[in-house]
Amino acid sequence: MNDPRRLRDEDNDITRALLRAGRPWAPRPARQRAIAAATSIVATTGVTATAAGGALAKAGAVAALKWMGIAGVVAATGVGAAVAFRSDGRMLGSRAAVVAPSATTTESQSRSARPAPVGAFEPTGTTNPLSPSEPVLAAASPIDARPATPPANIESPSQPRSSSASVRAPGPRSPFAPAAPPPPASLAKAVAAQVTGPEAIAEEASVLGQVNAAITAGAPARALSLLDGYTVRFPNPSLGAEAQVLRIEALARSGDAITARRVGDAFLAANPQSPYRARVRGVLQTNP
Amino acid sequence: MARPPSYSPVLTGEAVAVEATAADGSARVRALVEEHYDLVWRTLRHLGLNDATAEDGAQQVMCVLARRIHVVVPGAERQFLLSTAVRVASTLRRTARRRAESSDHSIDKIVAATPSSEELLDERRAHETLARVLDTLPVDLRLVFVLYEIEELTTREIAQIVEVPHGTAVSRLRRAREAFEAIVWRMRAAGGKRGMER
Repeated sequence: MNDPRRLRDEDNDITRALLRAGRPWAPRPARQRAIAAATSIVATTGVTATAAGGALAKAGAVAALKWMGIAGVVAATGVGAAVAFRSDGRMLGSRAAVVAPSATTTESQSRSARPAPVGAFEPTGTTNPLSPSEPVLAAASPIDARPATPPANIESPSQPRSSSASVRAPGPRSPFAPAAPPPPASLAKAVAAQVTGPEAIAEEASVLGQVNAAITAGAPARALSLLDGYTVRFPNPSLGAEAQVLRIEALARSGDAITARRVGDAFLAANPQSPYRARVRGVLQTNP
Repeated sequence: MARPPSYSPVLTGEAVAVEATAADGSARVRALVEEHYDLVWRTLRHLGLNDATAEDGAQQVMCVLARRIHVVVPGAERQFLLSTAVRVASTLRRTARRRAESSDHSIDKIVAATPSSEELLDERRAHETLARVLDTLPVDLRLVFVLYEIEELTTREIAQIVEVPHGTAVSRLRRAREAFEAIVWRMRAAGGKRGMER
């Protein structure tokens, strides 16, 4: 299955402008500090590599192959179909300059004074970051976290003062606790569960995408059924206007011109400033 | 680089081999940080961290890389870094003030503040608008969207990084694109309407 065409390649000037602006460069001083911190850690922990590195690298490769073998067969049908009422826009000009937010002098100085950030974002309840016996596997990648390798062999017993504590999962709620590998998507679900508003908006958009796809596919009855479900599920919708416009279209396509006219006129009367007025009028004129 | 005295005991008996390994690892780490720092920093920013927190987070990610460099499979470094970045972002979001908390998730307000196409030529303005739009997406969708649409990874690469089945990654991408396009659609409609009023 091929990946869908990327949105930045679509003929939509706003989308292109937004996505192109999504790749700024990081502040250079920050990069230099990261290099200094990271290379200093290698210098102090490299000792363990000769003993454990080879075996772990092999184990990691096997795990990676196994992991990459998981191949979904879900077709990306409907990608981009949702709310596909795009109109052609003007072409943007050349690639604009990047945005590179820079840290303040104070921040730079304070950060450069420490090889790795400790404490600033350290989760409470963790053990002493300097404890000589603690394994530092909390932030392991899927490659090296999945095989049941003994963590104590990996790290030097005397850890340098570093960011390990900051990275460590903070407690039993963490989806990254090394003792209990989480089921896939546990991170995303854990985070998403705290964000109810945007989740609802995404769900709304998803349903309306299905509605639009149904209309486009010549299935207005299904579109109306989906819209009925939408109305029940989202009593206070964020995309209510879009849903109404789609309903008017679905009604018109279904041959119910009278209801389409009634709902359409009600929409026009209730939304004197709506940007969708021209669209609704067009539907009503096309299906008198 | 000066090594603190307290670390010297672990070098006993393997000093030569250790120095060679450390030098190799150090060069590899340096090259990887040079190549991927922007990607990691950007990803942390897109996941809702502010400038200073993203900088700390990126450094944490690179320190994890340094500590694990000898178990990172060559060719899988980017995956390792992004997987680590996702986890670091998750931790930092819980403890640092989230950019999202102060942002307004109201699509109506985002749409109302839509810059014109000309204004979007100002990359900073476009970047701010993008951040606001991304903030409306749940983090799991936002991550997949950013990695696919901005960083141009494949859905299979993303599935490995996010640790979900490929079908889930595809599904999240579809939902994220739908939500994103819905907002852009409204921004376009609002912009067109404003244009007519002028």
